[in-house]
Amino acid sequence: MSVRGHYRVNRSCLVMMVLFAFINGCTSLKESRPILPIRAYEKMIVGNLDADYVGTQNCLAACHAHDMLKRFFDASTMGAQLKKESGMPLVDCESCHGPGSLAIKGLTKERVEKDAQQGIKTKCDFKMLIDLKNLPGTAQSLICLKCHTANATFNLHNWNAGVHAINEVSCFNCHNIHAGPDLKVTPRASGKLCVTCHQSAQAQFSLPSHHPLKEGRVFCVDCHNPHGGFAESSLLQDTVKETCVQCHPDKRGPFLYEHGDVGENCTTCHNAHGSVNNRLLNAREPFLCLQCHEGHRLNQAAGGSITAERARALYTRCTDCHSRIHGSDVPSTSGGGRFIR
Amino acid sequence: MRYKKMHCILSVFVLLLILCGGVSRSMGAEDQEPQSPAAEGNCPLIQEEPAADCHVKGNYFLGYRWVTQKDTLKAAEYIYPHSSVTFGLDLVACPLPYRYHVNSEFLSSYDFYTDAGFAYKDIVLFRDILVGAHHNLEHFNYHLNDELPVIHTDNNAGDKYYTDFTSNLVTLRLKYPDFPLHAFFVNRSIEQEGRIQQRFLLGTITDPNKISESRDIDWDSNAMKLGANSHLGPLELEYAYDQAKFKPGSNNILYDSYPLSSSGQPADIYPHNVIAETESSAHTLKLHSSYTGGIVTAATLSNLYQKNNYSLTESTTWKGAFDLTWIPDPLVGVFFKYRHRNVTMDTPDVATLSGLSNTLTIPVRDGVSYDKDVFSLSTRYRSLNFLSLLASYEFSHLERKDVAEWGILPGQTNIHTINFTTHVKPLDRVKVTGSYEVKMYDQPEYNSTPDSANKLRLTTTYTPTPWLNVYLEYLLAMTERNALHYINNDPSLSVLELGERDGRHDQFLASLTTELSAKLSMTTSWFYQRWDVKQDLTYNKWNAAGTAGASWPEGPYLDFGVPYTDESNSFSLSFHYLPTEDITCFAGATYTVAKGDAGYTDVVGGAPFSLPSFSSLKTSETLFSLGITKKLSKEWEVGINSSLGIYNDKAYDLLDGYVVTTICNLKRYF
Repeated sequence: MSVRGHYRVNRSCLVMMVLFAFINGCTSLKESRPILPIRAYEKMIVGNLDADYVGTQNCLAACHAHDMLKRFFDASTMGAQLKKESGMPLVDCESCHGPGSLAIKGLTKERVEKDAQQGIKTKCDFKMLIDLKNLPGTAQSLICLKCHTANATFNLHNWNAGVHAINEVSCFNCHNIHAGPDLKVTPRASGKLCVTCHQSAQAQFSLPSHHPLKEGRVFCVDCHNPHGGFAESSLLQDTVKETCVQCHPDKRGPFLYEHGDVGENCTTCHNAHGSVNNRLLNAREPFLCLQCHEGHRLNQAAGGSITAERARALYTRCTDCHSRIHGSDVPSTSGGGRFIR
Repeated sequence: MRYKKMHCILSVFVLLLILCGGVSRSMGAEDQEPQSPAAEGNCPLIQEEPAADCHVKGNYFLGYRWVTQKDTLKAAEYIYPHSSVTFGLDLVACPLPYRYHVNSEFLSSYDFYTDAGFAYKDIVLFRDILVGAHHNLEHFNYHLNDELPVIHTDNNAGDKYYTDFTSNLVTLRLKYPDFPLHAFFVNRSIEQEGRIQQRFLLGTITDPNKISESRDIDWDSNAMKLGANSHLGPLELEYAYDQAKFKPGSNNILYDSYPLSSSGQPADIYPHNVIAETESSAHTLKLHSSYTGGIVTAATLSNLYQKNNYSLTESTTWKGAFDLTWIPDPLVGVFFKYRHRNVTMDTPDVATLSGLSNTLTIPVRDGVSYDKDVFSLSTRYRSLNFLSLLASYEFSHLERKDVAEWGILPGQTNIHTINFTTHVKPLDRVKVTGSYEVKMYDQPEYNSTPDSANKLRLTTTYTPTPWLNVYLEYLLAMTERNALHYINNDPSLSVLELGERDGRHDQFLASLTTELSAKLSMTTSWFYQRWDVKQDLTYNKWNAAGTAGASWPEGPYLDFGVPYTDESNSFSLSFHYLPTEDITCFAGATYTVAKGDAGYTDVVGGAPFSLPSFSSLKTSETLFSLGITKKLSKEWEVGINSSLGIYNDKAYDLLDGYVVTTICNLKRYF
């Protein structure tokens, strides 16, 4: 398909967007229901059925008035969602922690203030709230997903069948809902957060050839999408090559002479996290190439071994001559695609 | 290009100033404490919107970085080797309904990081992540530590090579006010400029002349995504359009004088090492059901078109994905995934090689087009609170088209993968994960692809007390391959099936983090990695008649069971010490030693050289770092951080060098 053809399709999609705006008026489209409710998890996250909802003000304003978590929560996107008119699920403390009337039973404004004067932080009976910490990972994530499923959060598109969800890594493991205004893990923070579980990946970045992760110039999320994706290893793009060429665009191609279909998977020759060999190579040249390719002649036509000079030229670094090994657009001297021009 | 980069940096800092201005205007609102009712008994009150309450918090710093280095820059691989002023700003401000954040660090004109964001309610979300990195590249030397002569010419022997990389990722998402309908725009622009070592062959294989020369690069890449998504009741839908373009700048084609080749190509000046301009566009449609519940589905359909504007090679890729999650009960989960990829290469039938005096038309074989389907089925059984069992099976089918001309590539490759994983908490403070995976390949495509592979991974986390954490990880991967395929250099493209290959990968990590006292914490780790391969290799040879060309059917030289090894050990130790409330100290050391050998043998006999000596590896890298910060007052802090990096190329002494960096900063909190 030509680029012009793509533009035509693009116009069609703009029309589709206008259609979206039209159907916005349809109330039923705002609903969100699971295909098959999973009642066991629903029971875990519904909270104490004997309790009543008391509202955010009674949680935050009473006991957590001066906590940083209140400030961050107020400042979050969810803070904006407190308006019922938004048509989105109401979010407040009790949306996640469950109804809180039993937790604050017996607490009065006077007592909170008196404790505060004495430097005591008044504690509620948090055992009457949902025991978030000890829920199964899937149930923890369900608390978040109940809102984010109705909010067109497409970065979670492949979450449910992704490797983290399957292994019951929950939203809580990475997102600290009270820690910052956007709840997002910043690129820099990802470099520290991911390695709390993936410690060997961090260690690989200490090898002599590595991407500048520990130097703070490349981040885990440059290559990986922790919410899952199209490709294996939760890569950010659909293939290994599409991920790598984000920053190495000169290797994108397509080329007149491709390196078979090796080029589709850069990890055939490179280890992206780190290597003892230069250029992140899985093995040093020439062994790297000799694994698949027959080496150049070691004998002379007249008999006997080639000279040391020639051996050094042919068996040190193959890429000294095969300099377009990632793909070439110029025929070689032999007329084929030897990646030397 | 430099101007563009500086312009980019300036733009971001102007944006920061504007943001700070916006924040200061809203300070009045921040000073007002919320007046909200407290709890009264267990009687719930009417829900009220909380007032805006987020103070501006952050800090900025100004300092200087001294950089001293000697010999090569390998020890300073990602350090701009000149001293410079440093500054930075961290800021979080939430004068609702606006929210801002800035996290920036400027170490030099080529080494910086900025993450700046702005949000208005949930209606506007904007973010800009700007990264600049300087990369010192090796100048490959053709002379190793011996005096063997080499056929080569280095036209710029004293040049230092580097690239300056700048990435700017801009994200903008707009939401329809009362409905989850979004429009989004993402743009990633990459600039790479600098001087690289261009190595190439001038001459022929029988009369080679290896050339090295400097090449200035000025590459631009831009990838843009534009799309919209919406919640539509039972379904959510997203459409995105991607467009990317890579511009290699003006120095993208080199011309040199080539002699008459053995294949008859006339002597002439020909282009070589072309960096082609490329472009691509893609349409992607995503559709999923509610993320909650026992059944969740997600589907993706995408079409990618790519074009090389130099050789006019094109490719079209259709991608499809389907995910199905079924959790009938908390005890059991079933996960199905399907991935489809269809790649059609459209390679020109002939290539035109235009020399100064000759124009040659050369036939080109088709690129490899293929269909790939991957099905995977995983199950999870959470039998007890402390035990989870996972099992998965994946089948991958790759069907290559038009591979007759490629000779060595099989028409199809099938891969079966079975994985078992267990997560156990045998004790309250111990977590153990064990994973075993076996892969079986039917018609593996490359010699480095095995017939079968087995991988075992064990990890243990032990936290006996809150102040002690121990982590252990061991990985063992073993691969086997029979009947390797080698292709002869001769035009008849005969393929030889011979030899075998065994591989083994060991990896071990142990780390310990502890608080030695209330003021002193320590982290130490040991990382070990070893990669062993034993493979039969082949080398072409002149046949007995001394005829040029094919060595077969007489057969190539065979080097049986060539051992190849890479091994590394990395040790690290770091301390954090808080001698007083206003002083923080850090000290760390990392020592990494790596070695590698390949045991080629002299298959001809009487060779006046040793092949293993051309590519051995023995290096050590040491990094010491020391830092101290002192709070001068509630607002002011002074800090000094110093590091010493030493690289020792024990095999050839070509990359030896050290670098010392010292950063002194004065920081103000607000």
